[in-house]
Amino acid sequence: MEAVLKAEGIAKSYEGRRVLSDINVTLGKGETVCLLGVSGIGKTTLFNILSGLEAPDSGRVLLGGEDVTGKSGLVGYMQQSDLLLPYRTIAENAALPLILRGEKKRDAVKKASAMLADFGLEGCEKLYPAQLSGGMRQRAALLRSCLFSSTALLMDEPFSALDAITRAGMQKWFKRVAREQGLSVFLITHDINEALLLSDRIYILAGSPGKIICELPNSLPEGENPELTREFLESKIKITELVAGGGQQPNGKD
Amino acid sequence: MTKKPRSIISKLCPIVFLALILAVWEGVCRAGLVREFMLPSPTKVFKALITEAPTLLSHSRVTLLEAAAGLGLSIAAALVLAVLMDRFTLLYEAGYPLAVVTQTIPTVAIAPLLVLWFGYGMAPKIVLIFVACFFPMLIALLGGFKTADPGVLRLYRSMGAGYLRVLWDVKLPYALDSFFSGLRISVSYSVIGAVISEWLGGSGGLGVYMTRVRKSFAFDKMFAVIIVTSAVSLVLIKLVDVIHAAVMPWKKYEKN
Ligand SMILES: Nc1ncnc2c1ncn2[C@@H]1O[C@H](COP(=O)(O)OP(=O)(O)OP(=O)(O)O)[C@@H](O)[C@H]1O
Ligand SMILES: [Mg+2]
Repeated sequence: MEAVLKAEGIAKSYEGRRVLSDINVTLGKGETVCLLGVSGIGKTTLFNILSGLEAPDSGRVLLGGEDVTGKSGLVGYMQQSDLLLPYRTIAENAALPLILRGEKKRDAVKKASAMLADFGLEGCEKLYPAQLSGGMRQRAALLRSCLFSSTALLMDEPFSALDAITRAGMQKWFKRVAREQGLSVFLITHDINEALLLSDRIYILAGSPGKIICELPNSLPEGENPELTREFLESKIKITELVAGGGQQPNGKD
Repeated sequence: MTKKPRSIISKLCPIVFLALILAVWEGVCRAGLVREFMLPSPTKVFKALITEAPTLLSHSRVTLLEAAAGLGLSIAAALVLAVLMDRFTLLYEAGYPLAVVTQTIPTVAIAPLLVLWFGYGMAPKIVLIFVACFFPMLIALLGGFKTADPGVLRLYRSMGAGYLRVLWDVKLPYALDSFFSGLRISVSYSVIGAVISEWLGGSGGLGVYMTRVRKSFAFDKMFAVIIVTSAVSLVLIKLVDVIHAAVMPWKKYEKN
């Protein structure tokens, strides 16, 4: 598979404390990959490096084969909260990347408005973020990220602020949109269910300093409720052990 | 439903209380408990307000003009300096403590000095108002810039936006609330500042009128001009509130 985004030998320390060491990850075209790990392990740090917001101590980041280490403004990055501007309407918020790219505000807003329906936000263009539910705001933030970059999208716990029912709905919806739009998504979560439901592949980040202790292919049977199948439960048990077991190295990849 | 009558009562309360005070005041004057020229009765003050209305109006115009000029200049200067201080950390660290200290200087004390420096025209008045308003505006703006969501700032950085874009799109809008609370204070400072500076001399303005009627012991007119001065401040503060709500239409949806 063609690699869109690739990280090689990333290491990072904060105030002399190693947070990440020797991280190698790849994101292929059109796939959704999850990064799974406990809180504080360094997931957001890795994404900040991948997005160029922070520079790694060593290693490099490749976007479409080109070295982009420490360069921000290239990959779409949806951060832990929706970060919509409270004083801009939904359409204006979503159009932000187009405006930053130098498009006329009116054209940009028109373009973004045309896409609202695809993201379940029909008729919301003139509303302010405060008038929307949490799930709708999250969708608006996702649209904004998609308009920023169609090559690669980093998402840091996009659904963790939502209640369980809304989250389940959003996950199903996201899976469909990601497929329809052909998105290449790298997604952080500490929810094993979410990782299993959404991703084609799972990286597990564990240990101190954080390392990718294993990479699992994920193929759940297609169907209405994959989370009720036996495969799902078996994978879940295995991953739980891996994530919690952190320090000790499992016997290779499987 | 139950809220409505209560809010009417809470609005009526101060009015009733004020009416009570006025009634007592009138009674005290009518009964001859204080000498008339020392404390004019409310009806006398009201009469003065009516007969002097044209004079008061033209003096108000002068005062308002000075206040607007001083306030406008101070807002413009505060905006420029706040942006520079936000952009250059060194300037912030050097300037901020100084700004706080200067805010404690009583404007009344420097007013005579300004007259010595700038004469009796508009200039010393505008300078005094500028000094009174500049620091509250600067501090409000700097505080406002700090309220910008760090996540949003990071988002803009992740999208490769430059400083001017961040300033315009994020820092200024986030600073609006703080700016308007600063403006509320500065607006009343500007009126008070104008009146104080007019005490020291000049050809027009509420402060000049105030000095004139004080010297002729026309206490009813004195009270009338005090009422006009605070009315002008109140109207301006209300105006600031109206503009505040008008430029932030998203506010009414927040917090519920
Ligand atoms: N700017 C920073 N300066 C110092 N230490 C930092 C900084 N950013 C992160 N860290 C530290 O690095 C570690 C990893 O943080 P990170 O935010 O990447 O965790 P995370 O896996 O995203 O956690 P969560 O799931 O809670 O979001 C933490 O121990 C944190 O204290
Ligand atoms: Mg995180």
